[in-house]
Amino acid sequence: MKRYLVVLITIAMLISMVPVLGLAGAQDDMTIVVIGKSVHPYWSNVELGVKAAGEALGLPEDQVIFFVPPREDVAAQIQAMETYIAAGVTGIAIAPSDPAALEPVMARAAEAGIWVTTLDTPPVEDSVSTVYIGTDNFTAGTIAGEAMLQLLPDGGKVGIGRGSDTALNALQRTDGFLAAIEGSNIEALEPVNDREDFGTALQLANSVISANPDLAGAFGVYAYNGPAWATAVTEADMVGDIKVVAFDATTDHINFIMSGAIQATVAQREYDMGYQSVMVIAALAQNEDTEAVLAEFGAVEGVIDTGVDVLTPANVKDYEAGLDEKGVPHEWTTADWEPAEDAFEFVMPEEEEAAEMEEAVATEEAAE
Amino acid sequence: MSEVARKISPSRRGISLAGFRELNVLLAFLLLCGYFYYQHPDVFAKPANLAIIMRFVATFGMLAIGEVFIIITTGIDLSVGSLTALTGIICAWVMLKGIGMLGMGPIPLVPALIITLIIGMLVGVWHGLFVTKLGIPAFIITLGTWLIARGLAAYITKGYPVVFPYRGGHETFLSLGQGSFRSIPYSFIILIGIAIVATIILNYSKLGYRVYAVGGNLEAARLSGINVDRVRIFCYATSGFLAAVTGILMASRLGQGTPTVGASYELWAIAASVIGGTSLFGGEGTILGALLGAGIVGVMQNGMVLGNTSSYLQEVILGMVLVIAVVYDTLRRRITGAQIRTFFGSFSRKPRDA
Amino acid sequence: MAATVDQTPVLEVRNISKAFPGVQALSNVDFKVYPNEVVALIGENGAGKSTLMKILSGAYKMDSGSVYIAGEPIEPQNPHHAQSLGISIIYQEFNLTPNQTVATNIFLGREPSFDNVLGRAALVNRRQMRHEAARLLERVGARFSPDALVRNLSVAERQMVEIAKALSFESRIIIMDEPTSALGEGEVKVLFDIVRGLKEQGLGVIFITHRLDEIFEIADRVVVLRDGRQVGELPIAEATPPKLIAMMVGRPLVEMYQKQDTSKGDVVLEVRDLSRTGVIDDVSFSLRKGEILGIAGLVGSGRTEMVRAIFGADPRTSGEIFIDGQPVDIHSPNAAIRAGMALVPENRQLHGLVLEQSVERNIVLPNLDWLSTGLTGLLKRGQAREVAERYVRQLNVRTPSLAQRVKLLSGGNQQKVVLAKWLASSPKVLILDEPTRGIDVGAKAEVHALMSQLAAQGIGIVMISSEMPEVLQMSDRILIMHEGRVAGILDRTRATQEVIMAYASGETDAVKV
Repeated sequence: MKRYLVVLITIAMLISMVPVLGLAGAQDDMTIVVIGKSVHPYWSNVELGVKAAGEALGLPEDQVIFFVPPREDVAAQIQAMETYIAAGVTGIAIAPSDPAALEPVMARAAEAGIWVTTLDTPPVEDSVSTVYIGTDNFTAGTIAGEAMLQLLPDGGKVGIGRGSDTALNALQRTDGFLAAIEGSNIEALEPVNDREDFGTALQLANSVISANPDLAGAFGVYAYNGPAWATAVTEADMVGDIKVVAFDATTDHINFIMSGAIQATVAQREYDMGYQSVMVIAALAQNEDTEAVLAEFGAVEGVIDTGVDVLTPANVKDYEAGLDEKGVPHEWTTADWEPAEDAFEFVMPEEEEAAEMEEAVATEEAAE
Repeated sequence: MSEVARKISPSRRGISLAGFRELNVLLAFLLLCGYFYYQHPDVFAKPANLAIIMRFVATFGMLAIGEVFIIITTGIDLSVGSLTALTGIICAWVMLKGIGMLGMGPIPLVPALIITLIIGMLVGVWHGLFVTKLGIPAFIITLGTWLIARGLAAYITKGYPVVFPYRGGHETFLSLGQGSFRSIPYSFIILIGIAIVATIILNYSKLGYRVYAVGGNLEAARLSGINVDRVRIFCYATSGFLAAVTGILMASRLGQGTPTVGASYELWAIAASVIGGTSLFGGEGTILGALLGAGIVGVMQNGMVLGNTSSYLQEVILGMVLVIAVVYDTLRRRITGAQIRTFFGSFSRKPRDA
Repeated sequence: MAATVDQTPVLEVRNISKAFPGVQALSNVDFKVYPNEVVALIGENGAGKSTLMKILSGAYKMDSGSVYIAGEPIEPQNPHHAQSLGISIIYQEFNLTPNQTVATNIFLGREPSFDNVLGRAALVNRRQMRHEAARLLERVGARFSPDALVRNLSVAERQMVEIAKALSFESRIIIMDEPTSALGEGEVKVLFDIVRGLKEQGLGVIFITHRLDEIFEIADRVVVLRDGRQVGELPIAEATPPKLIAMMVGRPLVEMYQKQDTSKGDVVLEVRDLSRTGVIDDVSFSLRKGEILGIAGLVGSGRTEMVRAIFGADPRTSGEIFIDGQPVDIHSPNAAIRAGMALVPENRQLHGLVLEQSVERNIVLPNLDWLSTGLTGLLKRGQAREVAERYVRQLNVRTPSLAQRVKLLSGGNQQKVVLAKWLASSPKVLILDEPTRGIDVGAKAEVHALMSQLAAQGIGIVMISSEMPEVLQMSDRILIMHEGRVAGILDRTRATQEVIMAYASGETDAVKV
């Protein structure tokens, strides 16, 4: 008896995830779904972009759906996909936690006549995904590496902190970073793994600084890794002596940029990824000519590059202005703060250079 | 009969064995320290580096003390890691944003700390009630809280850390976890204070006698007039309270309440107490042992970073230390003194006729 | 029905002896069981019935003697081996896995199976298993399906499963250890039908019981054990209850410590209409200061359960308890201790001591309240040590130090530690459950002397004992229990072994003989 109750409740919960069933059809009542990876500020910003796009399109709230599992969970993503396929939505944009594992269910969605796109994480090669929207982690990693190169023209030891030794995003960001600094005088230490725990990350950062009195720089792979390095650098009283390059732009990143403990942080434009994903699906659903739509959104070879922001003391005020313009809320403010005269300013390398770099790595890998 | 008994059990064996156990842990700890000092003489013993180890011990030692109380009474508390995250968030939240439900604005430091500690304790009492009154295995009910607390932490914050603003006037709070007295972190000093109180309770108070008796033989304790339920609830409440202390110190240390702390802290705390000689069979365990256990884990982690050991390998090594400690604990119980004597006796004496 | 002499006995036991340290558990026991026969095996607590059973099941090794099955000498090595030799024992506690089906339980560990290519058992042949189980269940007259889950069966039905399991081993002889103790009246009838059925199928049955009336209904012959010896064997036609009782208890009283007469004071403990559903029923008695009330009765008669209910260790369904004439609400051992009671439990290792802890800690345990300061709850260590030392000395506990773990003490000294911890709590009423079980003669005498001394000090003592001489010589009055009820309360002067045994076996009529 109890068992049936549990099953019933589960079914009820699954159904409740799909506010309205059988929505596909006419253009005005299209339903667009965006599936993220986990509960995280990053994905909350994606959600903001998704909702903003929905508003811009004039779609009612329950027809622009954003779903994330509590933590990265491939099975939950597959389950969600299946639910939305059954509901017959117009299009699904997904950030696959495991692209290979998600591909079959994405293919089923495409067969069912649902537009499928990907965001944040590129899909497998020859995927059914119509377009990938985002900046991949490898490229973002190379930009972080470029920032480190500009911060340490004379080279030196650099520590790397990350939350996983196996997760794809951690590996790709690290590999990108390492690719960028290759050939320079920068020597990367063995990455330390905090198992996605801020407290441990700080502990490890402390130990690395203690172990390497000559540490010149530090790279934080996950969002909290940058603040962990910055806290450790502050505690060791070496603010400015150890250059910290981080990922993402949360309140504490900005706080540390203002305090001078973080020199640069690479912020992916997750808001844009969410916004664009919805806009692209809406356009695809309303136009016959797919290629034309993609071209209009600036896609190159099936990729819409949303790019990254590199925040430094020099441009953080501009960044805030940009956010305010988009209406993205933020808890921090730079109002009472002015950057130092000699504050670090990042120069984005030419795009060709980045491409060259990637190519070089690719050929090297092929050679191996 | 008495003559025989005397021969089987040389006097003071009970005392010497108990003392010997912690001595083992202490020796292992000193050996490790010596090894890493030898490897990295210029770095390991620096006050700054020792402070790093002390901060580590402060976090896991605190949780391990709670586990000692519970494991002595043959329970386990899997919730403390998640609870650390949740209480840290609650503390930061009420200080920065207030209590929305009650329409209260930001709350000053001391009431905020008290609220957080009481919440931690109540979660512990909740566990205790389930374990004692309903007979739910501690493993299950605390596993439930592990999920609930982690989920709540994510739900309340939507994943955003609750960050103390830059130059925001929370220096007193932040100094709890970040400050130090002559390079001894405050958090470590707080740990030592709590450890002393816990040791007094366990070894010198009637409550402590009851805790050990309940763990050693629940039924005998009950028939001796001990309210065994209350004793066990107290142990769970202690663990919840200490998880809240850890959550507060962690939030202060990081300058934010964040759901990304506390991952698998419970396992490290359990590991520390077990390495320190707390027996998973119940009835045995000391605070000092747990602190030394946390020290061993802390020194190893620090030492491996000093040696630039691959992080892939670090977990393997720490896991092996835990296995060795548990195997040692199990063997120590299985091999009684008599068996040891029989074993050694078999070399010197001829086997008796069957 | 009675067996003829020229038949080969299905089981023969010849001259079996077995000694444990300090006790001759069995000496030169021999008897036979023929096919188509039910033999009742009776005797007091500790007469040697269990030891004999354990030897037949291979759990113990006999010191001397031999066992034959159908004329073949055998030597059971372990219970499994005994079963394969054709001896099956149905214990009071069933060995069934409650969450599995009847069929699975019957064939546990030897499921009919399909063989794989190597000729090894691979997959369970469920159909065959169910089929065979159904056949066996039919033989015992069971009406439930082989697919039923054991946990849904009644006690009687589980017993049928056990019997069916025994049949599945092709057993020649089935030994039943007090099979009726947990059954209702109707269920007993069904069981007897099954036993008669087994008998007709050519099996021999040994029926161990405390209930004399059952013997006359089911047994063909009776074998009586006493103090490890076989004291009688007679066809049922020649047996009468008084005769059997006389055989069971007819031993000369050995010289042992006798309680000194003390002046009895006021009533210190009064129990009125104490009941616990299904366990004890309407027990009432009173106890005076300085009095020792012996509680006699057979194992399973509810003695331990009664004192546990008085002490608050188990809940009671009804009844009142008075201490010094005042009603007391005893809902937990803690309340009982506050009211002035102390309980030395039957199983000291499981219920009386924290084995891994020191002598001192064990003695201090029930006295923590008055040995610690009120405000901080800190222990007065000096005083605690002093108290432990005083009682260790007074009771002559032989331990190298107060720090010795009690696990390492002998049984007698462990019991003294339990006594010490309770004496330190200065009880008004001391309840002793089998206070001298399993301890050596010297320690036993010391415990007896101590009891007498405590009574002289005005403590009221309730003593459960299965040893008839102990009950007779230490008690001022004797309360005899039978099936959860008070069968009778006798004054020491009126009590004899025969009378007690008669009350304990529910043969009150025999008392008049």
